[in-house]
Amino acid sequence: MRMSALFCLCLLASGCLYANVHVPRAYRSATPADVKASSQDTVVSGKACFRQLFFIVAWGDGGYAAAARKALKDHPGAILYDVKADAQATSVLAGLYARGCTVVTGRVGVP
Amino acid sequence: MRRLALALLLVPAGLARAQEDEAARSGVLSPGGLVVFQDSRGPLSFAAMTRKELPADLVPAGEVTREACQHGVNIPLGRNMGANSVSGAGGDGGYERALQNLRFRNPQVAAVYDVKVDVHIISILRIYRRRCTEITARALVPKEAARP
Repeated sequence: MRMSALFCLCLLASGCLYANVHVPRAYRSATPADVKASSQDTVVSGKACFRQLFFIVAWGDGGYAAAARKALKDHPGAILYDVKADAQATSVLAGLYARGCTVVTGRVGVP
Repeated sequence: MRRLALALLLVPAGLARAQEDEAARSGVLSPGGLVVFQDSRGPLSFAAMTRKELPADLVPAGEVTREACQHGVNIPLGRNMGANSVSGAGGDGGYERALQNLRFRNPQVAAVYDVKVDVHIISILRIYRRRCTEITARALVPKEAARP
């Protein structure tokens, strides 16, 4: 009985009964030479996150596409160049709640 | 009680290690346990071209997204059978297949640029896992195809 309880705990703790997440892998962004770059181009930032709760469920889109989409939400049709991508991790109470984010920062250019 | 405390101490470290491994490995799905059969392909590297490197006579045609997936099944066994689980995996989740799928869905697309690659992971009870390589990019089409 004690072993079953320990097994259940391990199952719960071993990383999610259900997970549906997007995580970043690669981003070949534009360079200043690829767009009509100007010194007046604004710098924008977008953050996309996935979350995990109680080691049981994980959800969310923390990918590059979502982060770039959020960064360009006020600039439809524009393209990001001079892009910096950072990862941000947040964990509360030994990971009972955890959040992983991809932060994309870049200049807005016209393709 | 001591075991519970130990488990709670070890779990965050284990999760962090698993996430680190996920990032460092090639993109081939790791089904875990005793792998009975695996025939899968995953992403490794893709130096996508930029707009300047592509032919100038192609015109932009908006954003396109497509994915290619690997699937894995991991069946837990009893404690006394020598292995914790048996597993199998298959599917082509590589860059080449993702781009093929993209061109199949959008046959007029001649090239893509501003390529973002994400990994879409679905895991149910750790028994079934799906790992997809998702390509989001701006498409270029020949001028003739862009005409209404």
